[in-house]
Amino acid sequence: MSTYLVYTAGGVLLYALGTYGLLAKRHLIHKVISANFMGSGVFLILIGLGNRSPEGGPDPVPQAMVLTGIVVTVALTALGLAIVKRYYTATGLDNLDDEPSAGGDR
Amino acid sequence: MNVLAQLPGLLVVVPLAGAAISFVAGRRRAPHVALATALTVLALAVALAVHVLDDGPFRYQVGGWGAPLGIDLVADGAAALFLVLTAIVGLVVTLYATAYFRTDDETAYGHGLFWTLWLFMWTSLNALFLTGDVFNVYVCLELVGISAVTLVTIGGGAEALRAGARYLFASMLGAMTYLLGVALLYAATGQLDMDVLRTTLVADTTAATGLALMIAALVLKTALVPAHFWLPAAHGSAPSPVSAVLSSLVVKGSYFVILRLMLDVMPADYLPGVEIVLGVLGSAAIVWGSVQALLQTRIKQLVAYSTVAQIGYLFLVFPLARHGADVLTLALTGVLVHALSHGLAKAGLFLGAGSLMTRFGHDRIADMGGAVRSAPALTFGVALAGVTMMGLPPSGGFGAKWLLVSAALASGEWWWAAVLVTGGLLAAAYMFRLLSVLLKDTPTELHASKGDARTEWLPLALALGAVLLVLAIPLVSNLAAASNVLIHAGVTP
Amino acid sequence: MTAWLPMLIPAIAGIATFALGESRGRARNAVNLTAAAMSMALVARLVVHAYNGTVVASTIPMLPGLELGMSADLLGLLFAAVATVLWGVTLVYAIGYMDHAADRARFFGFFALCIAAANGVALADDPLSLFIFYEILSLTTYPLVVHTGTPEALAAGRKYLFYALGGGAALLVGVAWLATIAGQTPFTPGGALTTVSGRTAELRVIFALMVAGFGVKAALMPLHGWLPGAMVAPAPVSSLLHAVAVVKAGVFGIIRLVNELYGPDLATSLGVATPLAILAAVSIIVASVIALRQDDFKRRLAYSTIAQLSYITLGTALCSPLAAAGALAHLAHHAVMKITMFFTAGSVYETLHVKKVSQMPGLARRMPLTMASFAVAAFALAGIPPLVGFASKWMLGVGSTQGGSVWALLVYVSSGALALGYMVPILTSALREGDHAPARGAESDPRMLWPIVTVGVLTVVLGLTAGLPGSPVHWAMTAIAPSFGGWTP
Repeated sequence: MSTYLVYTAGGVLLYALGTYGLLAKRHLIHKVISANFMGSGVFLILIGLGNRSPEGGPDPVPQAMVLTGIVVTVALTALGLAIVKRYYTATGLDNLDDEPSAGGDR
Repeated sequence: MNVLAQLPGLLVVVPLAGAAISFVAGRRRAPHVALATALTVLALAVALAVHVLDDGPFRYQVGGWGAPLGIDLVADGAAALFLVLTAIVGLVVTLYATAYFRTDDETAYGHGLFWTLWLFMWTSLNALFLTGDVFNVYVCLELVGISAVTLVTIGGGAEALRAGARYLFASMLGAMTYLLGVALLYAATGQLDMDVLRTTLVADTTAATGLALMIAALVLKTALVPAHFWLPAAHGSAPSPVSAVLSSLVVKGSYFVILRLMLDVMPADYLPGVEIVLGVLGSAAIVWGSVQALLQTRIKQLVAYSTVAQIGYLFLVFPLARHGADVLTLALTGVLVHALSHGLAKAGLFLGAGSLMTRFGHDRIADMGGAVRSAPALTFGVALAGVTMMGLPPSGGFGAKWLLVSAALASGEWWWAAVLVTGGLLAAAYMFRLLSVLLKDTPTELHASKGDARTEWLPLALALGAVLLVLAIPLVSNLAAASNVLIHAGVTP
Repeated sequence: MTAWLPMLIPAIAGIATFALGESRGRARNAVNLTAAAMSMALVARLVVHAYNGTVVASTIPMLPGLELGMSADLLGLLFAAVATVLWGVTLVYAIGYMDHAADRARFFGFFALCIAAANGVALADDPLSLFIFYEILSLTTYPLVVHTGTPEALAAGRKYLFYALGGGAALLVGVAWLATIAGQTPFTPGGALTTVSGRTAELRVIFALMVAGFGVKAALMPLHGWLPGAMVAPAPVSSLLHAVAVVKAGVFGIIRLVNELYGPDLATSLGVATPLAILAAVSIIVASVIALRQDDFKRRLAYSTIAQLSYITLGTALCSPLAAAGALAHLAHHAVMKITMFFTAGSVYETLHVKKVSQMPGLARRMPLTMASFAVAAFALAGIPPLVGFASKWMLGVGSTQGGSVWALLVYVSSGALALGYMVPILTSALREGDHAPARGAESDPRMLWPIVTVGVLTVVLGLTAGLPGSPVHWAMTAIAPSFGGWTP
């Protein structure tokens, strides 16, 4: 039980840190990494869940969820980095707060 | 093997196969693959709707595992409606895209990928409408999100990339928060299947927190005010066929999950006050979105803010659902009709906006005078789509407004009716601001150039569909009656 | 099915007009004139049926628990007949008037759609159906008001929409509210709300909402602001829509509301009829006084229209059988008189660019037939016997005293004097010697002249035959009688 709590507390902390970073950080790479923090926090909670009931065996469902979640997060991260790179190439900007000087397309 | 029972699986597999084939088929043949896929999916969706109307909702066990361990797909009346809507809009958008992406524009570096990404998004949307598992919802939402963000940035311009990045971060925030909610819900209940949760959910702080987080995340993905900040830029700067599907279909995906969680999975008052909060935010969205739409000077921004407003109507069902089965039936039928009519009309409006922009070569509303001379069918299509946005008869939007106003008056909470009526008038204000420019008499040399016939007639076809929907309301009512929400509420048709 | 055709035939003609496009003028005229002839024949047949006691009706399911219904009863057919017959006349006029204008496909298409909507309003069998066609009428009129695309036209269109959609919103709430408490309520002579007991406060609010909705098109003051501005529309639009179809849809809605939804008894006992009557009386006097001071010809006619529409509203709100029948007869009579006048206004503008009363000297010699027709209509409007306006005004006046509202008689008499006051200066101005030399050839395009003469002659003929069966007077009395428990005049 206490192990589970440690995992949960750690996970929530990571999630909160990530949320702060995603919302407050200007730099786009910071934002992408912060989102990964959030994901890691949730995965930590899920991993902890798998070991909740010592009398039975480990619960495989949370582990399946974590594996799936990791795959999804990797895809999101890759897409995020690709967009950030292209945005930087197109505008020279590394954040969304400054207006790009060049006119947009369509 | 009963083919009809396989329809939910086919509705996911067929567009997925189409996506894969279009990727290897190459730039020239991809549009044909997409069209063939679209026609097949439309046939499958209609077959599913007919099957649900005949025999009621049914479940499909993916891989034959079955809930609670496996993932089930659930085909009910409401899901069938969204699938058919997606298929109709999808087919028209695919046709439109064959004209829109035809030109070999050097700057349009990603246009060749449109077909694959779009079919992939269609796959994920179908899965989202069908899935009966809260974790699978997460996966589907992310798949929709990834393809949607990519489609927004497909043009590669700075503005689109900026909008796409903002959309992606909103999407990530929503995804992680939703997953945290699922984790808490699973920690408390050990269940992921919506139907199992519905019958086993008991009062529990952890489970309630989890569900609240899930709903908050879905609200962000549905762009309900005040979480709408990402939508106007993303929908406004994407290529027009993409804007059309984003505004008309994608926001409905996450909304449909909220609908099922709020009205089917959770017992009444499981999250006390949330219905009211959603209703109030919906009302705020109607007013705020409409006022913003009125202030826009660029056509696609106007249409995008109109989406922010129209999403608001969908949330009025939640406060009304507390007033017994009769009001719930009216309100649920109302929001389903609204989802359909808005889906058709908004897709028509975005496609129409795209055609106007192609003809005029810019997106400034003020300089689009005289469109009615050079493109009468297009202008007429925009006008008809506007009629349904305003909720004026004869249109599906009118049917939705009537049902929701009736539900509000029958519930005794007349102020929701006042919101609905105000929203209609505000919609008239922003739509007629646009229309009065299109109808303006301007010197002939300023008139737009001729475009492809498809880009003139397809928006009109969608708008006509939204108008004629008013005649299909009895059918929508029957499908609403075959939805799990009403069946589980004990409503007998 | 037959009950839908008076609405469907013009609708199909409208869509066909759009499909034919701008270039095929001959086909367009043929389609519209044929549709008008077919509609007239159809309405005539339905009238014969209705006189023989067979009301052709049909419904289709629409919203849960509610049906969309059409019913060709005598009351509705009177309005449908007015709209359809005058559509035919106006088509000929409009073909002449719009001879060299641009965007004729759009014009004639929406024109036909407006008539479809007006016929839908006329034959709608319940509040929901009436509301639906009422709103369609608002929407299909907008493109005609802004037809020229000029800044003034667009401004007038904006104003029109502001009023029409605001009124429509009030009507929607009223109709939906009524459906919530009473369900499907097909119009029934004498009142359809027999199942509702109590709920007086709610019924009063619903009545007020519906009056607000219909009052916009009926130009009931203070909801009249859109009408004078909407006169920027081409003359056929002012003639048919702003003197016949659109504004009459408003007063017709009030007639249905008072006589066949609430019923005269309930309207009286709820105390909602008298405030409506007072509002109408004020509109009559105020609008007539404003009309006296208008130099712009069409604006003067517009204010006259506002006053005359309130004649109908007042007669209906008095809840006295003869006044109610007079109101219904006046709906038809005023249509014939006012369309003559608007045709004249359009014709003198199109031929000589005369827009103001002060520009008229010489006009009587330049366009004698046109101005003679106008003069007949003007005297009819003031209620001079034996012209058409006299019969309905007589009924309205006698009905007022029979209903115990002598004050209403005074309103009618004084407004008759005011009508002379704003009509006679037009005639004296036209009779004066002036710049317009007598015409060498025809006084105007024959396609414009003969419709004017036709409706001018009609104001005489209908006046002389007012006592015969089948005349608007007889028709109105037959249609109104069931609402007053089988009253016989």
